[in-house]
Amino acid sequence: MAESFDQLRAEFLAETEDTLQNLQQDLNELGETMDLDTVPDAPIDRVFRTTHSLKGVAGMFGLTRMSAVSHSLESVFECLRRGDVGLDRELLDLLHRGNDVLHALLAAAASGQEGQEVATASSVIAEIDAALASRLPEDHGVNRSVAEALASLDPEEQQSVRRARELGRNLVVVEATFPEEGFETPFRDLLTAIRNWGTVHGTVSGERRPDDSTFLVQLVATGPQEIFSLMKIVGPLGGEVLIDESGVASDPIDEAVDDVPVAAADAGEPDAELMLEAELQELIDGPAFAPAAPERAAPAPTAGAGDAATHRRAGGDRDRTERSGGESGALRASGGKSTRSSTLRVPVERVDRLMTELGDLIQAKLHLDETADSLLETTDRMSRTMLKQSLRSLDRHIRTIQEGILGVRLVGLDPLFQKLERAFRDACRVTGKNARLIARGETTELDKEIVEALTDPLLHLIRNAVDHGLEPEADRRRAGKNPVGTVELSASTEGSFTLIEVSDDGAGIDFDRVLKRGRDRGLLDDDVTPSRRDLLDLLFHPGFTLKDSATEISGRGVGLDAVRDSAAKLGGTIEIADGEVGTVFRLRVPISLAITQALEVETGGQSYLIPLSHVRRALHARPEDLDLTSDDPVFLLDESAIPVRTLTDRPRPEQVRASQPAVLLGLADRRVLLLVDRVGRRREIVVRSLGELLPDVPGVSGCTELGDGRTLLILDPIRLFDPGWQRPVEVGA
Amino acid sequence: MNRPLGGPWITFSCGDTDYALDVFDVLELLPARTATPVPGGTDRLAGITTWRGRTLAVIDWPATLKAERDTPDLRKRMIVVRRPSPFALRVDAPGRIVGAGELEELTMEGGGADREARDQGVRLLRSRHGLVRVLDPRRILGRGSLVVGGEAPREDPE
Repeated sequence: MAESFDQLRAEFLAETEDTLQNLQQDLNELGETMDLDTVPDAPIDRVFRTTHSLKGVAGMFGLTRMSAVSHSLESVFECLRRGDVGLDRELLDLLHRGNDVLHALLAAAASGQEGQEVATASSVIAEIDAALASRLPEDHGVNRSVAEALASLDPEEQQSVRRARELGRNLVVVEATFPEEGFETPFRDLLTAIRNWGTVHGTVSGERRPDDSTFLVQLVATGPQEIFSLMKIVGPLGGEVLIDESGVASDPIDEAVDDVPVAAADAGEPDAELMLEAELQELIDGPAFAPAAPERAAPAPTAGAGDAATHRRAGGDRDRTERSGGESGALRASGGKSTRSSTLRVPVERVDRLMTELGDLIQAKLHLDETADSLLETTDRMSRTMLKQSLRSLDRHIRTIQEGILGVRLVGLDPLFQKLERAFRDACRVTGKNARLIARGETTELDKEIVEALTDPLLHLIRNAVDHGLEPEADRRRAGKNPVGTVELSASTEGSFTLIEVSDDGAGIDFDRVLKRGRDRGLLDDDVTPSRRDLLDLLFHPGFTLKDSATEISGRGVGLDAVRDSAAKLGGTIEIADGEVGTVFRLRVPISLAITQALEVETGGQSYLIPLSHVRRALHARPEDLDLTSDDPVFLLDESAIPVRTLTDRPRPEQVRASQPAVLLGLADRRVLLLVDRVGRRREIVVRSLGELLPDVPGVSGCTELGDGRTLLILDPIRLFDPGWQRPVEVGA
Repeated sequence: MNRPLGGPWITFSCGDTDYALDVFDVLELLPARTATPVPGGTDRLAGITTWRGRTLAVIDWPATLKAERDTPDLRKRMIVVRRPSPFALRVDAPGRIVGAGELEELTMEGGGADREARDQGVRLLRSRHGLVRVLDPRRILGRGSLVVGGEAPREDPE
């Protein structure tokens, strides 16, 4: 049973990631539209439902802080739905912070550190609640806070609650709205239901809503059983269960409320965990925890009833949710089991294990190919044909499996794009710039590990575009440009690579300033006139910045070099282009890290592999096209002078053959000619790390085992040959 | 003998010296193969090899002891050692399995290479075939990176 509970909890945590991503998406959407005359209802409704469901399910799993933050967010969105408050930037920022805290709480829960982030959660709850309270009219009739409900009890009732809390009872406030006429029967039903669960200590309000002739009633109750079981009881009766974990200091019973144990404490009480498991099982097998009450006459739909109705819509009105695997975890928990069969969550480690096995399978196949090659020379024609057919068939199956497993690891870029959108907004706020972000290609898919590794580099590029790329509004006006700047973020697939571009419509790179700063820092000689390309390279130099002083988001000189480092580690490249308008950064990374294609080269008696992503072409260089006499040896190709390198020492004229084997490498927008002793085969390889004992070998990105049993190093041309790279390495030395 | 000997051990030779590793620290004895050199590798690192789909650093034990090094590019037998994380130890020839009853612990009092060995957790035992130096697998790798300019491997908790 315990294992089953853990599994369900793990599943909930995993699904909540999606929930929070959707929440982020909705908040972003609200941010985009809040300045319009009419703010769309759909995202507000969705967030309300999401936070409501999250509050309930998180509480059910004992994640009381997550439940409490969700509750605060839900309160805001309920007021937004009703039109009691309007959305403004400050409130939206707070909602974003609330979502950030939920992310942090989720991460803490996933790592078994539920105790962390408590102070942050309490702080954001207090801020959100205060912001909401300050926006609500004084005569606002809604009192959703448990703390306020408790404060409204008379001293005797408060004492009664306190005693119950000391016995470990769970504390709730059940809120329900009843029609003005004929409220007695449903109210009595609700009261009876709560009494079947525990003790009702007091009724708080009974206020009449000014807008719709209904009563809002709050009942303060405690009970030994799970709160979840109460939700199931009162949901059909129109009741909504409020749990307060906000720790609001003004609450008289706050100290007792804080750190509420989810399980019943008394000996002899029903085993809370067992009950919970049974109830969770019901989520899978049977009725949802917040069932709709469509048959019941309910003139004023409560939050609970409204939820159920809108949950049915949720699956259909939102492509993004469907694409990411159906409804979010919290929504799914309350929406029935129709979406369960469409997706399957698998721990990443299992996929990784499969990937490793696949690598071994491919390796075995390569061995088999080698063996077959020798056999083919000796066997008869019939056997040769059959062997070839078998090998082709095996190859096809392996490819299918390979594509399938690689496909499992692929994820869309949309969650990352949402983070970037948020960072963009923050950067605009900090810099005071007015700009819009246009995002394209967020459905592009690539390996989960690569997406994770891209987060920081892209965050940097986005902030960079706002801070460095876009001019202040006044400057734009003076230049006759649209005062609202534009940053474009796009992703597209190019063969086995993904190209991500971040561009801005700013003033472009100030080369004079780069030159001056480069000379001031001693990175450029005064008597040398660098090319524009050399100046662009300076931007990737560690510690180089054009800012005079560091700001909250940039100017510390830590950034573009780290971006290039990250790209190189992924086997990718980054290039910067000074376009007609603004600046463009192009980040090119492989879709998958595990299996790639490479070119074998031999030099100094050793064979190496160069990823094809860096190979423009293999060629035989004529000695007359090689100028190896100067300190900067070059190869003349198409009117260009291309730097010449070897893997050992500097190239020497006497070593050059009449037809010198070489590989033309592409390092982003630069080219380098690598002289080698022999250019070998193009190979499909399984990329392996150099092992735990060799975590970082400069100039080498990994290794692979060939079918003939040899282990070859895979070179990292960027780190070997890019002149901007700060760690020159002689591989063959 | 001042402490339990443990064992049994697998013995192997490098040059004229016999060494031993606890059999529970040995994952496999590999047939002769050539290690792929790694750029910037220290003397201790003979290169890398692939074993059962994973990449192993190949440690040149005589070089680690700063003993005279044999020709480094010859195909050599290797012992796959379990701890701290699997690596291959290049040896001249694996020997045999010996039990505790066949060995007696001695105290190392010498300097030079013996001191180096003692510092690296080597225990000196005597069998009827001669002296055997028992290696502590956690200390074979020594400290610091195996590659010049590279990151050091994670320390293994004792």
